[in-house]
Amino acid sequence: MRIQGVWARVLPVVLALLLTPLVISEVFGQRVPSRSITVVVSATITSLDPSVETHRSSGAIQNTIMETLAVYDASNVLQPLLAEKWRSTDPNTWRLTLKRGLKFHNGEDFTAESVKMAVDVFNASKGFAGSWFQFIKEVKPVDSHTVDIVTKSPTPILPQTLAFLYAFPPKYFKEVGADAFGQKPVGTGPYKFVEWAKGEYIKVKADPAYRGGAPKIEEITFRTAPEASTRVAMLETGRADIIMNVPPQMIERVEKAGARVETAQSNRRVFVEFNRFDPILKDVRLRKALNYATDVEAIIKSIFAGRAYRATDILRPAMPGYSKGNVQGYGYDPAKARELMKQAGRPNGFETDLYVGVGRLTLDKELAEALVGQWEKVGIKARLHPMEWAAFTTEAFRGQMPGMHILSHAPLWWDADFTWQNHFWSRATWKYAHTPKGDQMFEAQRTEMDPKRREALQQALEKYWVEEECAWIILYDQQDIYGVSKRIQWKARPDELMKFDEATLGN
Amino acid sequence: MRTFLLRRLVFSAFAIWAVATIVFGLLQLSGDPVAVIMAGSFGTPEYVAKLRRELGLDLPIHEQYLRFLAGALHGDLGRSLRWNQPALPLVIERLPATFQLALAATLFAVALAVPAGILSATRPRSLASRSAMLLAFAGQCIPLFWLGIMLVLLLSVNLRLLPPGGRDGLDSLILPAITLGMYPMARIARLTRSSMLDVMTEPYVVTARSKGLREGIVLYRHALKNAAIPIVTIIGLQLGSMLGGAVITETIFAWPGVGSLTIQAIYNRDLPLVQAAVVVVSVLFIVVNLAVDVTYAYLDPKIRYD
Repeated sequence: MRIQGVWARVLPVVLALLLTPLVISEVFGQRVPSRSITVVVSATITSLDPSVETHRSSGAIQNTIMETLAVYDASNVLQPLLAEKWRSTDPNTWRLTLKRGLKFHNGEDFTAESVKMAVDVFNASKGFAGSWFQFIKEVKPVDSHTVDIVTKSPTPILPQTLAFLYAFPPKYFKEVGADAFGQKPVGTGPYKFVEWAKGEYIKVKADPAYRGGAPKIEEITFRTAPEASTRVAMLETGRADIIMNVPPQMIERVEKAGARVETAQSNRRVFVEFNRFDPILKDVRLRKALNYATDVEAIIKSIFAGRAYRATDILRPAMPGYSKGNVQGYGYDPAKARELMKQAGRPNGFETDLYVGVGRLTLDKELAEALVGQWEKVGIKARLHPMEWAAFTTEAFRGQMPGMHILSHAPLWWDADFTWQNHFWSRATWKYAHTPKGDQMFEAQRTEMDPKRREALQQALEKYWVEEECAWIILYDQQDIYGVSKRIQWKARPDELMKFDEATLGN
Repeated sequence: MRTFLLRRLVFSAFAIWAVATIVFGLLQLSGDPVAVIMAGSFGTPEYVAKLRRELGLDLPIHEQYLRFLAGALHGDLGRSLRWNQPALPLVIERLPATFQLALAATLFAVALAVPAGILSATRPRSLASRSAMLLAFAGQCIPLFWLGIMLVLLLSVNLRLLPPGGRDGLDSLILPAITLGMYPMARIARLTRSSMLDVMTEPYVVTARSKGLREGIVLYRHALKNAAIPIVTIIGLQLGSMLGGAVITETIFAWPGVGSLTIQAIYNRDLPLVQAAVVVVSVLFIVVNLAVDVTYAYLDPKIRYD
């Protein structure tokens, strides 16, 4: 068949146009050095300044370059890092002793001034992290490596917050300003910032002078791909070595491609929060009934294929005050649910609402639909309201969302104070579960400096909100799933943070 | 021509103002950026009030609007709430990637669509013509999302020919350009066909043929040039919409363009960034339309704008 007429002239041009880029890339494309890896995160990076951008995608990169005063290990136990030790010298003062002989990547010394700068930067931030250190009144350097942190009131949790206080280089920060720092950060970490090609990649390379010895992986390139299928395709084609947020239904693809999945029981706990001021749900018996009407095991099995961890409490292992069995969970017991509804004068069930901000949690819509279906079996008709996240938070923020809503919570500092302050306080962001008694108990544990007394207060609070007030239907902890290429040894952490200083290449 | 351009400038300024105002209103009604920030963090009521003040979100709506307008006249479209940087440069930074993708998609669409349309008009019963029109029909029906993912699975994952995503070398442009260009290709092909069919029956085409001119000259110098006006219009409109609206393609292929920046800004209720993106895209759309109108004058000497 002879190609004639129009096609004879046009076809070669079209083919040339389509094939030329391929040829050019093959001939001139850059080859990546073999001691280098590519990590693909799911969210767009807006800034590498940890006081501005706190998303875990950014955290993975920030933590290669900058370090905090303390750090959590993989069991959520606090360990010293840039601060060697800390002690409370009076109820409102904590004295920190800093590591000596450390330098920032630009040669500046790490001193008490860096800690002062850090608190100032965080408190000036208009981002997510701006509220974190508002409890600090003043930072007073005592000598070059000793600093007093003075708090507005007794703050037993201060050591825990040090895991989020990053060391900033004062001279460099003042020189370039906050905006520029976020685009080109300097820290004390195992990797140095190399390059940020906006929208394309961020490169960091190992610091040979790092105090623990240079990390084994020489260079890391971070890329962003918001779509899960694209991330998995990048792993399949060898263009990514580690990818985050693999949906459970794509695990087979990852394994078929010769890679593996690394999982961790996330610190992110999923639950249903009641509006305890709702005209119907203000009756605690009905809140308990909803708990008994929920078969969490079935949800974990059928929706998450077993990839979630049943949870029944608020305090977690390694948190001050944690004691296994301090609270008994509500198991699945539809008969008990019906009994409680009868006692509450609603033997035939009732109508209520369930709100969910879609797109933030794995299979959130499916979870909501399953819950509604389960509750229907005992006569509780919940109207489902899936909403876009920003619309959901705007509505929820007003404190008047009726019925219940699905949420998740991952404490930043590993202390239940973080949870109480977020959800169980009349001045919390989420104002759906607070009582005068709860406020009193919260404020007592918040300022109790004696560890043993504080632990007892935490346990009492947990019993109060789980067993007495039944403020939540506690569901499960998510499973964080990462895709990892066979050539890398790397383990996932429960706090959604990716760290690479201990990762190695090769089998 | 000068009065035409002046009138267009005035109208364009009005159009940009109208779009920016409507978007401002819609965003104000649809969500609270402070709620989005606080939902991911925590803060006492005092802290929340302080944050609102610092972000200028505690002012009455009309004052926020006037502030925005005053800043816009000086080229200052505010600071992104999420990025914590001036909004306009963030959008402009994304333009090269957006232009690259839009131009590549348009080139792909036109290179396939115009010959297909001409072929279909001149040899309607040929196999090539029927296949071309079937492809055009499919291109208008296939959802972008599905097409993009299928292309990735086939050409990237299975055949290892092209990268699955990211902006990394010219070969990473191919799949997104095909995905984005498929629908415009379909529309342009069908319009080219119908436009050519209309023109081919005109007396001057019959005359040209009967004068013994080669078919190529009849088709291009006589028929296509006259059929071109609606084709150029649709190319311009498609290019204009690609410049701001390639959200799905950019998301699937992790292409760092204005579309994905804007959708993230909307999710975050990042008002200043959305406003900046809308203003920039409106300006681009207007410029493209102006270029289309000027092209008319070249194509058809009867068209004069004075």
